[in-house]
Amino acid sequence: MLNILVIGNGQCGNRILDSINRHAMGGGKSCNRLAKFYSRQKFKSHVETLAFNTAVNDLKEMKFTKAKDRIHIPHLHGVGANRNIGKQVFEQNKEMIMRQVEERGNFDIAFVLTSASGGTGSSFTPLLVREMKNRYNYPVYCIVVLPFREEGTLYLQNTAFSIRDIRQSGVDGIILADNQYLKNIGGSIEEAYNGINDMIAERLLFLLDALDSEMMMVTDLGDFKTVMSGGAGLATIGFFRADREMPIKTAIQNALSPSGLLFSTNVYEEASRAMVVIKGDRKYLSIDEISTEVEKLSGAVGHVFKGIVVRDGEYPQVLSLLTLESAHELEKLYSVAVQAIHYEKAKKQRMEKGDEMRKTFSQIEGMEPEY
Amino acid sequence: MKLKGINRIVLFAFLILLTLGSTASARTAVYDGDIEEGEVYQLNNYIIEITDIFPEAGTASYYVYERDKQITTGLLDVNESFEFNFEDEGKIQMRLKSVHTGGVLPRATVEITMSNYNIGDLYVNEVIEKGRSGASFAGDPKLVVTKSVDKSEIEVGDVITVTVNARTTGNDAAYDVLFTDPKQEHFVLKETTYEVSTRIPKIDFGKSMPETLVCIYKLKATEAGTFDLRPVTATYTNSASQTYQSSSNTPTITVNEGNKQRADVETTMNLDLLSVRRNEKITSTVILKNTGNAPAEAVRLDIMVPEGMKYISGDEGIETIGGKPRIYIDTLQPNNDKEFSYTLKAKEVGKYSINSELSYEYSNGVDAQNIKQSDKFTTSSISVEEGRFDFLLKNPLYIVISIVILAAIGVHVYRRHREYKY
Repeated sequence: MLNILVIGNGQCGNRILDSINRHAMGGGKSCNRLAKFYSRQKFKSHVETLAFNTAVNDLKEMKFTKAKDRIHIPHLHGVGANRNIGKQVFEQNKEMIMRQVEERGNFDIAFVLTSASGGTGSSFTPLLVREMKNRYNYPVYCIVVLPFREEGTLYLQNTAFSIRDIRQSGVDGIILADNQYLKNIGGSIEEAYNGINDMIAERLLFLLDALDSEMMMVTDLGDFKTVMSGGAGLATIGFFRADREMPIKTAIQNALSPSGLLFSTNVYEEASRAMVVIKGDRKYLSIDEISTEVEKLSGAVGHVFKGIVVRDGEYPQVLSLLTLESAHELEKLYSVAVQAIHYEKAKKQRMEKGDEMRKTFSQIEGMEPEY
Repeated sequence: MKLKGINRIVLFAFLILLTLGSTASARTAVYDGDIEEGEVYQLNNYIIEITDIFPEAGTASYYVYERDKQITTGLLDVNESFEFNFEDEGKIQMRLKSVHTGGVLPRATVEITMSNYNIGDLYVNEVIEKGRSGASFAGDPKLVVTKSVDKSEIEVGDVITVTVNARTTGNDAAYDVLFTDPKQEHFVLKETTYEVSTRIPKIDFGKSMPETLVCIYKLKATEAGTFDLRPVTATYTNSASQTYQSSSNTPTITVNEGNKQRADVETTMNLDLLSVRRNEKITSTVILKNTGNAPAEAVRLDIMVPEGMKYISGDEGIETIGGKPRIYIDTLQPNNDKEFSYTLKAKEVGKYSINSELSYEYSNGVDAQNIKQSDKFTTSSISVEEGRFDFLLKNPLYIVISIVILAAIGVHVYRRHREYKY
């Protein structure tokens, strides 16, 4: 049994972590709010979860994560999307934070969930990963959520610097999930965010389950590490769950298609290594079809690890993990982020000069109010 | 023990004296004196006639008559007597004491005594010097009282006129006549048209005498049926103050139901369930319907809730008095009905019926008083079985286990709540 640590940093990380805990109780997205009174998280592995946040309200919103796993880092009510403040807060509370990690025990693998754009998550994660890598010898992977492009210049520049900092922290790999790409889920903003969180939670749980399951064809933690060590250190996850009988090759194709991926990429052009895990009833798992599709993928990306988990009575489900050599979409994001940085810089310089406001107030200089 | 000869004689003499003594004490002297030949001695309607007196022979012949009818005759020696039956089982005895000449005609001295008769009842007790032709007798009046009605077949509420007449037949007038007409069941006296106010002093006899009108009154029939009117009784005396009594005829009246109004309240009691578990509820629906043609007033239905059940609630028209439900309606018009529902709760296991007592009254349009009616009803049997959780009461261990389980669940929920409460 694997020992796995999952940490959610900041509001986004907290919510994804809560969704993972909710899904782990069974019932998927429709899991009852009262399930915590009669059920427990049913992880295949030994999984410990931790949520860090400077905003206590974000921690209170979590319903399926135990109170002892919700750690408030005292600093008013958040860091206000300011990564510099976030870094200071982390440094001030580093020992307390690391003690929480330490108390959870030793692990085989750790995942850190975070948004790249926010305050606490984007600033804490690089520092936390660095500390974990310094103190422990288990691999640490980050699942980083990219913002909507129209969410504002601060978020865009936070994203750009946060991803860079995470890469430089010694992390063993970054799995990207892009809100911009996933916003086609539709519905209200809340439904869209919840939907994205659920998608990420579902994929991660599938992955954790696959890493610790007896398989017909094995993919294990070593395979995962190998895949994640390839490419540019960036990866994404694709997933497809059939809700009816269908050929397994169709399910695999869907898991590799843009609609199944968390981050927009052309798998056959940008992927470096891949892992495909297939789950379902034996009658759906045609080895020929699986081999054909895997061969087609390996022909483009090089090596593909494949794992098959037999689950009686279940329709086919396919998870694909792909490390990327290049990420066109990420380049575009950085272009936008650079513009945002310039915009913010120019605005700050204008404010420092204060010319406009000085002119405004100078108009009443030497005058007194007349009544 | 045998009596000796002397003792027998003494005992015999004692019995004779006792007999004679008792006889003498029961006789009453009526007359002790002379009766001249041709004279008679009259005792009420009885005549003792001394027809021939023979002083030389010391005898006298006699005749006894009741009015004109000869009863007995004979010849008496001096100190001889004879006896004859008198009125009312009385006995008259005459003893010839002596005969003697004197005056124009011979005379006989007699002693007349009577027994078993009150001398005070003798209204004639004297010597009639003119003989039988000079005796006068009291007659026997017979008062015929006739009660007549103008109609013999009527309907309830109809009125009949009753006329009472009297006529004296017999051979004497009726004196001091008093009529008594008792009250009549099933009828009420509506009006008295004529009534003799006091006793009638005398009603003469004879065919030529007109009938005497006693009273005229009207009766109203209050109930259907065939009834005999009660007889009028007349009490009167004859000229000798002897008392007589007569009764009238008893006319028969047939009274039909006719148009008499009636209220008839029918009660229907339905139950929504005939089998329930303990602590479950039963709803009963009561329908009171007046199927008669008169309004029912003061309609009241008392519902007797059995011991094993409890009254919970009911419609607005149901009031509870002393915990017992009661339906009260001031007036229930003909062909109208009213529906009430109430709820009972089964308290104890068993079989129960809900009894109820209905009472109401109405005016039938005839009687002055309202007619009161009452009736009793019973519902079908209700079977109350054990409640779902009665087994817990029978076996407290179940309760303990349940409490332990609930407590464990509570502790578990609390701990989970604490575990997730931030």
